[in-house]
Amino acid sequence: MDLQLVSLEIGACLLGIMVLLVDLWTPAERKAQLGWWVAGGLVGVFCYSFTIFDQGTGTGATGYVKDSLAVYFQGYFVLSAVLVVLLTQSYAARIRSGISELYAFTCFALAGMSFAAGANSLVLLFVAVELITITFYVLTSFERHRLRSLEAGIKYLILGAASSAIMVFGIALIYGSTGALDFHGVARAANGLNDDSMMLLYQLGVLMTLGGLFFKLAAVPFQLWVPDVYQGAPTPVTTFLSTGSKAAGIVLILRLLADACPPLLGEAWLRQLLALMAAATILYGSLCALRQRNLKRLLGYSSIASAGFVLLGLVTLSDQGAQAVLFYLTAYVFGVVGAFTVISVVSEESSDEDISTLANLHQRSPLMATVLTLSIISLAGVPPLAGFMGKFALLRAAIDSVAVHPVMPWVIGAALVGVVISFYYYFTVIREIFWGKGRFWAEEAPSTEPLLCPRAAEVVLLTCLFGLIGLGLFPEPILFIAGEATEYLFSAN
Amino acid sequence: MSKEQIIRFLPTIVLLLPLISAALILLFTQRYRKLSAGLSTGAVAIGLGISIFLFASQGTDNSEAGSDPKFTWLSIGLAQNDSPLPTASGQENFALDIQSLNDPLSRLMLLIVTFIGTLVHVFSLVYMRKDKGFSRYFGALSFFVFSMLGIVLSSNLVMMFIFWELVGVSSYLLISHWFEKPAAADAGKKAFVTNRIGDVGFLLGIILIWQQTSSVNIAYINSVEISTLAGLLIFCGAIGKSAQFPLHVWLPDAMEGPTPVSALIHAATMVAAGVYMLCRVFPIFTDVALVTIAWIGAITALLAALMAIQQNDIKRILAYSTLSQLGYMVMAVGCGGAEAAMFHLTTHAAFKALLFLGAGAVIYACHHEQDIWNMGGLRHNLSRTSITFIIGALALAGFPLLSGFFSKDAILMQAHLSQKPLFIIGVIVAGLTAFYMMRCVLVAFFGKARTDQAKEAHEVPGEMLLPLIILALFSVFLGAPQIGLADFLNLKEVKASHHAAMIWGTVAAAVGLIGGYMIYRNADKDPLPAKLGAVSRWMRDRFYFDELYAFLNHWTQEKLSFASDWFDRWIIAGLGVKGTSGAVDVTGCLIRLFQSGNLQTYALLTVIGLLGILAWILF
Amino acid sequence: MTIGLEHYLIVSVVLFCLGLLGVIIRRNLIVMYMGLELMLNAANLALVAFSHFRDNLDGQVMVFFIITVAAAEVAVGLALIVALYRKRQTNDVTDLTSMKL
Repeated sequence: MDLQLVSLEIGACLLGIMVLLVDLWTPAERKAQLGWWVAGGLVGVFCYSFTIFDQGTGTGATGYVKDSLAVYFQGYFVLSAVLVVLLTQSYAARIRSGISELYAFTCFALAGMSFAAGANSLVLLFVAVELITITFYVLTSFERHRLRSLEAGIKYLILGAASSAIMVFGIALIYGSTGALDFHGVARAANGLNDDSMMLLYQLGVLMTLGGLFFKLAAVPFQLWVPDVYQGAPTPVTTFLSTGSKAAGIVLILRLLADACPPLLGEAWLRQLLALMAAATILYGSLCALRQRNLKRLLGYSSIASAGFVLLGLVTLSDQGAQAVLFYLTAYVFGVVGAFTVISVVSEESSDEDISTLANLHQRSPLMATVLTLSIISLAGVPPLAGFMGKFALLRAAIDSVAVHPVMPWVIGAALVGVVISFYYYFTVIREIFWGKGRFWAEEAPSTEPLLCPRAAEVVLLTCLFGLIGLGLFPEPILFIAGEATEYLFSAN
Repeated sequence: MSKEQIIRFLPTIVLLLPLISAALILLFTQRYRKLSAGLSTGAVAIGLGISIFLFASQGTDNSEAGSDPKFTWLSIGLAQNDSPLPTASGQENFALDIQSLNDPLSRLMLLIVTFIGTLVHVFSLVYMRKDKGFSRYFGALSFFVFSMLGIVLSSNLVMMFIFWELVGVSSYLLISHWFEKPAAADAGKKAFVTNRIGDVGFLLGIILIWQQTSSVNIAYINSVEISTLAGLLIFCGAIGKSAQFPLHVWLPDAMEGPTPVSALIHAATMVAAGVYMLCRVFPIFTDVALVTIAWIGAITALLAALMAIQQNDIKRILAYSTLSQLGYMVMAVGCGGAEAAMFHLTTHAAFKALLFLGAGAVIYACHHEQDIWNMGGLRHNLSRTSITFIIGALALAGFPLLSGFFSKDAILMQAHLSQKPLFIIGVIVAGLTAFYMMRCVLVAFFGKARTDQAKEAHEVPGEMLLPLIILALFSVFLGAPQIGLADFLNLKEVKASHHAAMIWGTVAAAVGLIGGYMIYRNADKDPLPAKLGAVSRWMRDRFYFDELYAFLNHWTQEKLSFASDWFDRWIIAGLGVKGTSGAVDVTGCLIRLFQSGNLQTYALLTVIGLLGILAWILF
Repeated sequence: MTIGLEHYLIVSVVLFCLGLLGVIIRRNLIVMYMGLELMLNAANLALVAFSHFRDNLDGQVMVFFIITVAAAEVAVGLALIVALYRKRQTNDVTDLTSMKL
């Protein structure tokens, strides 16, 4: 028993419980301030768990590994959790009660994601996914007094539970056909399968399990829940959904494909399936976002489109593609958190999420206007910001694999069309910031009063600004770490 | 970290300081005027300190051409090695290294830019005190200094082009700082658009060079052969930025910006960037390209000097003189004397900044009066300012033993070595320069005051005087052989040409000064129009270049625009864009119908999708 | 006739489909939720059957995890449905369309 191996998960859970306890002795008006401590605590726990990794305690008990891929994603999850906790704090005014529970649940979800990053068996995969999903049911409907939050929670609950059930059934079929639950056992047994019906069962199982994971990632045809849930959930929760929860799905897909499905990696249909899904997802997200006026819903569709780009990296089924996916996610987190933070502050002030609330933002708060503009530009993929580097890496991996994958040119074409369409709706947002005239039926001109940004949100915004520019100009270090994390992921087979 | 390693980081720090200050000002401190000004001034002053340190500690040491940190920003192609050469497999790869350059040339230029920049900042503290865009002004100033330093430190052409464009943008912001004035806004636009024309050539040149050598690294392309065409295209960039004939028209109009900005743009930075770039990539030019460059420079020098003679606005006189001096430098480059050009660029930076700031002080003291015929007798009220201005004017005129004398000498010597017609033009321009500076000084500072403003002018405050005095000292001594600038630049001397240049240059300056004195002594209005008639009118109206361009625009571009507008409106926008975007829009709206909001529809569609996948793959 | 693996599997698949149908067709949230539980239990049945016929206990361990997780899911889910009922006095799913397009 090596408890140090899971120190990050234990630490996150303990931190969550401690917040709940400390809450009892904290006067109501200071509860929001707990966010600073949680954020600090998370960073501390991560640093501690990282030193353990550094000392060379590589893999541990069956079912859980702490390799460089796991550590990369754990770092990623902690980063987004810290940003989300700080964002939550500046959102506190809208949470009527139980801000501490919100922090605690964020920690629990983080523990689940961290398990997902290291999951190496179907059991842990299932438990980690459920830990994340059930936590998010609660988080999504946290503002119980708002019907929309509740509605989002229930939609997420029913669809999420259905996809979990499909995934569990898939797991049962994989187990039935191979007799193993840990990834390597599954791979070994699957390589030896010579019975056609068992192979069929195995393929069915893998597809259904992947289906459950694609639901997290929001890939077509499992994307329908995204806009409604993103719109209804409290903004910090939406942020965490689009950064943490989505990435948890990605790391599990990567591991499942690379470790448990070696016999399928050579099949043409797997590539065709992923390619078709990638193209459909990018186009679906971009097209639906075109006429969207609600900012959170708009970002929901944009999140679907970006899931398509992640799939573009997955289609290559190569180490380079996986590296690009990891980098893209890291670049993505700054853009998304930056955008959602600004939207959270602006929509709280005007109690509206319409795109017209952004009018005159450049006069009301230059900092927020800058960060939102840069975030959007980065999401759209314009150089020299982080998002451009991410998309560039993905497209480059895709182009490099054209020789191996005959379907690739079509997917790349679809991706480029998607990028062009996405410029339209992304720049609608920017136009609204600088040249917006407010709602066209409104009587009075949009406000030009200075808009105060809470301290915690300011910290988040500056971090995002730094990340967006830093990753755009100096992508090498992160690309290098991502490359190390994905080395031999696919090529080992 | 050892001392050497820290030194390797210094150029990058100098580059980033103004950027940080610009970002801080624009994002946070717009409301606090003094803080903004302090940040901006502090950033460039620290940069000056570091530049002095670098210059003093490393001097002409050329061993460490690169500096830290070095990043490979984009690498396209299969292999990711640092070699700029095509790889063995024939696959060309392209790696863009972001790196600051640290060699004698860039160190000298760094020093010039931060030095003039600091003085201009200090001067602006007073000059702009009452402006309501004070913080914005300093933010833009910082951004401009950042862009300019970027050009200076660029180690490859792509990086240089990016900063080249940033200089264009930031100069636009500065020139049209008073954007409420239509003239200022128009001047900003004119500068921007004219520069674009040159930049297109520059960009094409970069692409051509990349195609020919598979590299954009400056150190590498300087060591291989480049075609004449590529060299001339690169030169186009300099024509735009350094306002050479025929793209010289933007520079005089750019006088609409605040005077300290004119000093910065004209003396040390933007327009000097073109000359600096030519010196930086000097080895790539073939003989044919060099001859073209020399003649363009000579024509610019001559035309601008003629135009300067009949201008009445003190800033415009200086603007045309800048044009003429830039032509001089470009001519020097064309004659094979990049060192001479850099020498003149350095001394010119000092005395032209002095003249512009001096003009700024005069304008400030006369309550924004700019016509020299409305001044007169200023030497009584503005004694100290006028002394510094006269020193600057004499230096520009090439008065013996002042800095301009030595650098002009170096250029004339190069011309004498290269082509005699160029030498003759150079001497004529030297005479004209002396003449129009004499006119300007006599009319503005001597005689008697012609208006009330001139009568009631008061000496300017100390913060404005200090930069003037410092610059005056530099204008006097910078060129002297004892200072060693010529040695630093490794300037070669050829005895016979040197003597010819010195004698003829001095004679021309003397003739110009004396001629100016004879004509404008005690003149109350300009006697030249009466004597020269039409010629004088041509000079005043700048040989009708603006009108010519307007006419050409009218008959070619506007007709073309009309045709392409029609094509664009009906064929491209109507069929192409509206059609496509409409189709996309409709598709979007239709697809969005899937998002009905109904939970069970979602569940049903998801399951159908899953079943579809399973059916497709398994059966 | 002996009862083999395929019999269990057929029952399990039928249960799964019934559950899925319940989620898609029934309007009442509680009944939809029951359908979801049915799907999970179909998976449980398959796991136990595989475990038995493969002589391998891993599958049954998995079943325990599923049952535990399902309990947690039910607790959260029912709480949500109750909260909705308190607010809207309905648990008909067609009323939940305030966000669309």
